[in-house]
Amino acid sequence: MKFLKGFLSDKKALCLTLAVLAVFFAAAAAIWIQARSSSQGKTAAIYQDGQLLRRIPLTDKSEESIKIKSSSGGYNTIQTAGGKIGITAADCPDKLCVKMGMISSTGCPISCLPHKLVIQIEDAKEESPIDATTR
Amino acid sequence: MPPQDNHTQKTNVKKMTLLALYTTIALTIFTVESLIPPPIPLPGIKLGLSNIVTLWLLMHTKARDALLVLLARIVLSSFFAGQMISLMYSLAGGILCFLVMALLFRLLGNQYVVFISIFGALFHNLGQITAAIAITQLPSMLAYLPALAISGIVTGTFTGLCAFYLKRHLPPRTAWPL
Repeated sequence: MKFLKGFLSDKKALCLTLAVLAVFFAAAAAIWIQARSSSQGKTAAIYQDGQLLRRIPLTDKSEESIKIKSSSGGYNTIQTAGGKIGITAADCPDKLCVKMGMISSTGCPISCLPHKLVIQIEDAKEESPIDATTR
Repeated sequence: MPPQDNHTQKTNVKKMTLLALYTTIALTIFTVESLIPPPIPLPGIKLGLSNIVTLWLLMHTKARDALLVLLARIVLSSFFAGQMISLMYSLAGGILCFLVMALLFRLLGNQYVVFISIFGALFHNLGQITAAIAITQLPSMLAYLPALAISGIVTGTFTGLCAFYLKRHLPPRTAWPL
Protein backbone atom coordinates (compact mmCIF):
# COMPACT_ATOMS: atom_id res chain seq x y z
CA MET A 1 0.00 0.00 0.00
CA LYS A 2 2.83 2.33 0.88
CA PHE A 3 4.32 1.67 -2.51
CA LEU A 4 0.99 2.49 -4.19
CA LYS A 5 0.61 5.75 -2.24
CA GLY A 6 4.11 6.83 -3.11
CA PHE A 7 3.40 5.99 -6.72
CA LEU A 8 0.15 7.98 -6.88
CA SER A 9 1.77 11.08 -5.41
CA ASP A 10 4.53 10.89 -8.02
CA LYS A 11 3.26 12.90 -10.98
CA LYS A 12 6.08 11.83 -13.29
CA ALA A 13 5.45 8.14 -12.71
CA LEU A 14 1.72 8.66 -13.24
CA CYS A 15 2.27 10.48 -16.55
CA LEU A 16 4.69 7.79 -17.70
CA THR A 17 2.22 5.03 -16.81
CA LEU A 18 -0.48 6.83 -18.78
CA ALA A 19 1.87 7.19 -21.76
CA VAL A 20 2.69 3.47 -21.69
CA LEU A 21 -1.00 2.58 -21.36
CA ALA A 22 -1.81 4.87 -24.30
CA VAL A 23 0.76 3.08 -26.47
CA PHE A 24 -0.59 -0.27 -25.30
CA PHE A 25 -4.21 0.53 -26.17
CA ALA A 26 -3.26 2.16 -29.46
CA ALA A 27 -1.36 -1.01 -30.40
CA ALA A 28 -4.24 -3.23 -29.29
CA ALA A 29 -6.67 -1.13 -31.34
CA ALA A 30 -4.35 -1.34 -34.34
CA ILE A 31 -4.25 -5.14 -34.06
CA TRP A 32 -8.03 -5.24 -33.82
CA ILE A 33 -8.47 -3.00 -36.87
CA GLN A 34 -5.87 -5.06 -38.73
CA ALA A 35 -7.71 -8.29 -37.99
CA ARG A 36 -11.07 -6.78 -38.98
CA SER A 37 -9.95 -5.18 -42.21
CA SER A 38 -7.91 -8.12 -43.44
CA SER A 39 -9.62 -10.43 -45.85
CA GLN A 40 -8.96 -13.72 -47.56
CA GLY A 41 -6.80 -12.94 -50.56
CA LYS A 42 -6.59 -14.80 -53.82
CA THR A 43 -3.04 -13.95 -54.78
CA ALA A 44 0.25 -14.26 -52.98
CA ALA A 45 3.14 -11.99 -53.93
CA ILE A 46 6.72 -13.01 -53.21
CA TYR A 47 9.24 -10.22 -52.83
CA GLN A 48 12.98 -10.51 -52.49
CA ASP A 49 15.47 -7.64 -52.09
CA GLY A 50 12.55 -5.26 -52.61
CA GLN A 51 11.65 -6.73 -56.00
CA LEU A 52 8.55 -8.67 -56.90
CA LEU A 53 9.70 -12.18 -57.79
CA ARG A 54 6.34 -13.62 -58.74
CA ARG A 55 2.64 -13.72 -58.01
CA ILE A 56 0.97 -17.01 -57.27
CA PRO A 57 -2.79 -17.46 -57.49
CA LEU A 58 -4.08 -19.22 -54.40
CA THR A 59 -6.82 -21.67 -55.19
CA ASP A 60 -8.00 -24.64 -53.16
CA LYS A 61 -6.74 -27.08 -55.72
CA SER A 62 -3.35 -25.69 -56.61
CA GLU A 63 -0.33 -27.12 -54.87
CA GLU A 64 3.11 -25.86 -55.60
CA SER A 65 6.54 -25.93 -54.06
CA ILE A 66 9.12 -23.31 -54.95
CA LYS A 67 12.68 -23.06 -53.77
CA ILE A 68 14.05 -19.54 -53.65
CA LYS A 69 17.74 -18.79 -53.32
CA SER A 70 18.79 -15.65 -51.53
CA SER A 71 21.62 -13.38 -52.60
CA SER A 72 23.62 -14.47 -49.55
CA GLY A 73 23.48 -18.12 -50.58
CA GLY A 74 20.60 -19.30 -48.40
CA TYR A 75 17.31 -20.79 -49.46
CA ASN A 76 13.61 -20.81 -48.55
CA THR A 77 11.14 -23.42 -49.72
CA ILE A 78 7.72 -21.92 -50.28
CA GLN A 79 4.69 -24.17 -50.41
CA THR A 80 1.12 -23.47 -51.43
CA ALA A 81 -1.68 -25.83 -50.46
CA GLY A 82 -5.40 -25.52 -49.86
CA GLY A 83 -5.53 -21.80 -50.67
CA LYS A 84 -2.73 -21.01 -48.24
CA ILE A 85 0.93 -20.17 -48.61
CA GLY A 86 3.85 -20.53 -46.27
CA ILE A 87 7.53 -21.31 -45.93
CA THR A 88 8.12 -24.96 -45.10
CA ALA A 89 11.92 -25.07 -44.98
CA ALA A 90 14.77 -22.57 -44.78
CA ASP A 91 18.37 -22.36 -43.70
CA CYS A 92 18.14 -19.01 -41.93
CA PRO A 93 19.36 -19.05 -38.32
CA ASP A 94 16.10 -18.40 -36.48
CA LYS A 95 13.61 -20.23 -38.78
CA LEU A 96 11.00 -17.62 -37.83
CA CYS A 97 9.67 -17.66 -41.37
CA VAL A 98 8.88 -21.39 -41.06
CA LYS A 99 7.33 -20.93 -37.62
CA MET A 100 5.02 -18.21 -38.97
CA GLY A 101 3.08 -21.01 -40.62
CA MET A 102 0.69 -20.83 -43.55
CA ILE A 103 -1.26 -17.66 -44.27
CA SER A 104 -4.19 -16.80 -46.50
CA SER A 105 -5.30 -13.38 -45.23
CA THR A 106 -4.06 -9.93 -46.13
CA GLY A 107 -3.31 -8.99 -42.51
CA CYS A 108 0.15 -10.14 -41.57
CA PRO A 109 2.85 -10.91 -44.15
CA ILE A 110 5.41 -13.71 -43.75
CA SER A 111 8.98 -12.51 -43.82
CA CYS A 112 12.42 -14.02 -43.68
CA LEU A 113 14.47 -10.96 -42.84
CA PRO A 114 17.91 -12.65 -43.02
CA HIS A 115 17.10 -13.57 -46.64
CA LYS A 116 15.21 -10.32 -47.36
CA LEU A 117 12.22 -12.39 -48.44
CA VAL A 118 8.61 -11.34 -47.90
CA ILE A 119 5.37 -13.09 -48.85
CA GLN A 120 2.22 -11.08 -48.68
CA ILE A 121 -1.34 -11.80 -49.68
CA GLU A 122 -3.00 -9.37 -52.00
CA ASP A 123 -6.58 -8.81 -52.97
CA ALA A 124 -7.04 -10.37 -56.37
CA LYS A 125 -9.16 -7.56 -57.75
CA GLU A 126 -6.55 -4.83 -57.48
CA GLU A 127 -3.64 -7.08 -58.39
CA SER A 128 -5.02 -8.55 -61.60
CA PRO A 129 -2.28 -8.97 -64.18
CA ILE A 130 -4.63 -7.62 -66.86
CA ASP A 131 -5.57 -3.98 -66.39
CA ALA A 132 -8.67 -4.05 -68.61
CA THR A 133 -10.27 -6.08 -71.37
CA THR A 134 -12.38 -4.94 -74.30
CA ARG A 135 -14.58 -6.85 -76.67
CA MET B 1 51.59 11.72 -26.97
CA PRO B 2 51.94 13.49 -23.61
CA PRO B 3 53.35 11.37 -20.80
CA GLN B 4 50.64 10.13 -18.50
CA ASP B 5 51.16 9.88 -14.79
CA ASN B 6 50.85 6.54 -13.13
CA HIS B 7 47.41 7.19 -11.72
CA THR B 8 45.54 8.00 -14.96
CA GLN B 9 47.24 5.08 -16.65
CA LYS B 10 45.97 2.81 -13.91
CA THR B 11 42.41 4.09 -14.20
CA ASN B 12 42.53 3.74 -17.97
CA VAL B 13 43.52 0.10 -17.72
CA LYS B 14 40.93 -0.46 -15.02
CA LYS B 15 38.24 1.19 -17.11
CA MET B 16 39.10 -0.80 -20.21
CA THR B 17 38.99 -4.03 -18.23
CA LEU B 18 35.63 -3.09 -16.76
CA LEU B 19 34.19 -2.24 -20.18
CA ALA B 20 35.47 -5.55 -21.55
CA LEU B 21 33.96 -7.37 -18.59
CA TYR B 22 30.58 -5.72 -19.12
CA THR B 23 30.74 -6.56 -22.83
CA THR B 24 31.36 -10.18 -21.91
CA ILE B 25 28.41 -10.19 -19.52
CA ALA B 26 26.16 -8.67 -22.19
CA LEU B 27 27.37 -11.17 -24.80
CA THR B 28 26.79 -14.09 -22.44
CA ILE B 29 23.26 -12.94 -21.65
CA PHE B 30 22.61 -12.39 -25.36
CA THR B 31 23.86 -15.87 -26.29
CA VAL B 32 21.91 -17.64 -23.55
CA GLU B 33 18.78 -15.67 -24.48
CA SER B 34 19.06 -16.68 -28.13
CA LEU B 35 18.59 -20.30 -27.01
CA ILE B 36 15.11 -19.47 -25.71
CA PRO B 37 12.59 -20.07 -28.52
CA PRO B 38 10.34 -17.05 -29.15
CA PRO B 39 6.79 -17.66 -27.89
CA ILE B 40 5.21 -15.81 -30.83
CA PRO B 41 6.84 -16.25 -34.24
CA LEU B 42 7.21 -12.65 -35.33
CA PRO B 43 10.51 -11.06 -36.33
CA GLY B 44 11.81 -8.81 -33.55
CA ILE B 45 10.05 -10.37 -30.57
CA LYS B 46 12.55 -11.21 -27.87
CA LEU B 47 13.22 -10.56 -24.21
CA GLY B 48 16.17 -8.24 -24.76
CA LEU B 49 17.83 -9.25 -21.50
CA SER B 50 21.20 -7.88 -22.55
CA ASN B 51 19.60 -4.44 -22.31
CA ILE B 52 19.95 -4.87 -18.53
CA VAL B 53 23.68 -4.23 -18.98
CA THR B 54 23.01 -1.04 -20.97
CA LEU B 55 20.51 0.17 -18.35
CA TRP B 56 22.93 -0.70 -15.56
CA LEU B 57 25.79 1.23 -17.17
CA LEU B 58 23.54 4.22 -17.94
CA MET B 59 22.63 4.28 -14.24
CA HIS B 60 26.21 4.15 -13.01
CA THR B 61 28.56 5.75 -15.49
CA LYS B 62 28.80 7.99 -18.53
CA ALA B 63 26.57 7.38 -21.54
CA ARG B 64 29.71 7.15 -23.70
CA ASP B 65 30.94 4.06 -21.87
CA ALA B 66 27.51 2.41 -22.06
CA LEU B 67 27.43 3.08 -25.81
CA LEU B 68 30.87 1.49 -26.25
CA VAL B 69 29.76 -1.68 -24.49
CA LEU B 70 26.52 -1.78 -26.51
CA LEU B 71 28.30 -1.36 -29.86
CA ALA B 72 30.92 -3.98 -28.99
CA ARG B 73 28.18 -6.40 -27.96
CA ILE B 74 26.17 -5.84 -31.15
CA VAL B 75 29.15 -6.22 -33.48
CA LEU B 76 30.50 -9.32 -31.68
CA SER B 77 27.11 -11.02 -31.40
CA SER B 78 26.45 -10.64 -35.12
CA PHE B 79 29.88 -12.16 -35.78
CA PHE B 80 28.88 -15.14 -33.66
CA ALA B 81 25.50 -15.42 -35.36
CA GLY B 82 27.34 -15.40 -38.67
CA GLN B 83 24.83 -13.17 -40.44
CA MET B 84 25.99 -9.71 -41.40
CA ILE B 85 22.43 -8.68 -42.26
CA SER B 86 21.40 -9.15 -38.63
CA LEU B 87 23.98 -6.50 -37.75
CA MET B 88 21.87 -3.91 -39.62
CA TYR B 89 18.74 -4.75 -37.65
CA SER B 90 20.56 -4.86 -34.32
CA LEU B 91 22.37 -1.58 -34.97
CA ALA B 92 19.22 0.27 -36.06
CA GLY B 93 17.29 -0.97 -33.04
CA GLY B 94 20.16 -0.74 -30.56
CA ILE B 95 21.26 2.80 -31.39
CA LEU B 96 17.74 4.26 -31.45
CA CYS B 97 16.95 2.49 -28.17
CA PHE B 98 20.18 3.78 -26.63
CA LEU B 99 19.61 7.40 -27.66
CA VAL B 100 16.09 7.41 -26.21
CA MET B 101 17.20 5.75 -22.97
CA ALA B 102 20.22 8.04 -22.49
CA LEU B 103 17.99 11.08 -23.02
CA LEU B 104 15.33 9.78 -20.62
CA PHE B 105 17.91 9.04 -17.91
CA ARG B 106 19.01 12.68 -18.18
CA LEU B 107 15.43 13.96 -18.02
CA LEU B 108 13.95 11.61 -15.42
CA GLY B 109 16.66 10.05 -13.28
CA ASN B 110 17.59 6.56 -12.17
CA GLN B 111 14.46 5.78 -10.17
CA TYR B 112 12.38 5.64 -13.37
CA VAL B 113 14.46 2.85 -14.85
CA VAL B 114 11.40 0.63 -15.52
CA PHE B 115 9.72 3.28 -17.68
CA ILE B 116 13.00 4.10 -19.41
CA SER B 117 13.41 0.41 -20.21
CA ILE B 118 9.90 0.23 -21.67
CA PHE B 119 10.48 3.23 -23.93
CA GLY B 120 13.86 1.81 -24.88
CA ALA B 121 12.24 -1.47 -25.92
CA LEU B 122 9.55 0.37 -27.92
CA PHE B 123 12.13 2.41 -29.80
CA HIS B 124 14.29 -0.67 -30.33
CA ASN B 125 11.38 -2.32 -32.12
CA LEU B 126 10.64 0.87 -34.04
CA GLY B 127 14.26 1.01 -35.21
CA GLN B 128 14.14 -2.60 -36.32
CA ILE B 129 10.93 -2.09 -38.29
CA THR B 130 12.50 0.95 -39.95
CA ALA B 131 15.53 -1.16 -40.90
CA ALA B 132 13.22 -3.91 -42.19
CA ILE B 133 11.33 -1.41 -44.36
CA ALA B 134 14.61 0.02 -45.65
CA ILE B 135 16.04 -3.42 -46.46
CA THR B 136 12.97 -5.11 -47.93
CA GLN B 137 11.58 -1.84 -49.36
CA LEU B 138 8.10 -3.00 -48.40
CA PRO B 139 6.05 -0.66 -46.21
CA SER B 140 3.84 -3.62 -45.34
CA MET B 141 6.44 -4.51 -42.68
CA LEU B 142 4.57 -1.91 -40.59
CA ALA B 143 1.95 -4.61 -40.03
CA TYR B 144 4.25 -6.06 -37.36
CA LEU B 145 4.49 -2.79 -35.42
CA PRO B 146 1.40 -3.10 -33.15
CA ALA B 147 2.32 -6.62 -32.00
CA LEU B 148 5.93 -5.55 -31.48
CA ALA B 149 4.80 -2.53 -29.45
CA ILE B 150 2.84 -4.74 -27.06
CA SER B 151 5.71 -7.21 -26.77
CA GLY B 152 8.07 -4.28 -26.18
CA ILE B 153 5.97 -3.05 -23.26
CA VAL B 154 5.95 -6.52 -21.68
CA THR B 155 9.65 -7.31 -22.18
CA GLY B 156 10.71 -3.74 -21.39
CA THR B 157 8.90 -3.92 -18.05
CA PHE B 158 10.66 -7.19 -17.27
CA THR B 159 14.20 -6.01 -18.11
CA GLY B 160 13.51 -2.71 -16.35
CA LEU B 161 12.46 -4.53 -13.19
CA CYS B 162 15.60 -6.67 -13.43
CA ALA B 163 17.77 -3.54 -13.53
CA PHE B 164 15.72 -1.92 -10.74
CA TYR B 165 16.14 -4.83 -8.35
CA LEU B 166 19.80 -5.32 -9.29
CA LYS B 167 20.47 -1.74 -8.26
CA ARG B 168 18.57 -2.25 -5.05
CA HIS B 169 20.46 -5.36 -4.00
CA LEU B 170 23.99 -4.91 -5.32
CA PRO B 171 26.29 -2.59 -3.39
CA PRO B 172 26.90 0.54 -5.52
CA ARG B 173 30.70 0.15 -5.37
CA THR B 174 30.55 -3.09 -7.35
CA ALA B 175 28.93 -1.44 -10.36
CA TRP B 176 31.70 0.93 -11.37
CA PRO B 177 34.67 0.61 -8.99
CA LEU B 178 36.83 3.42 -10.32
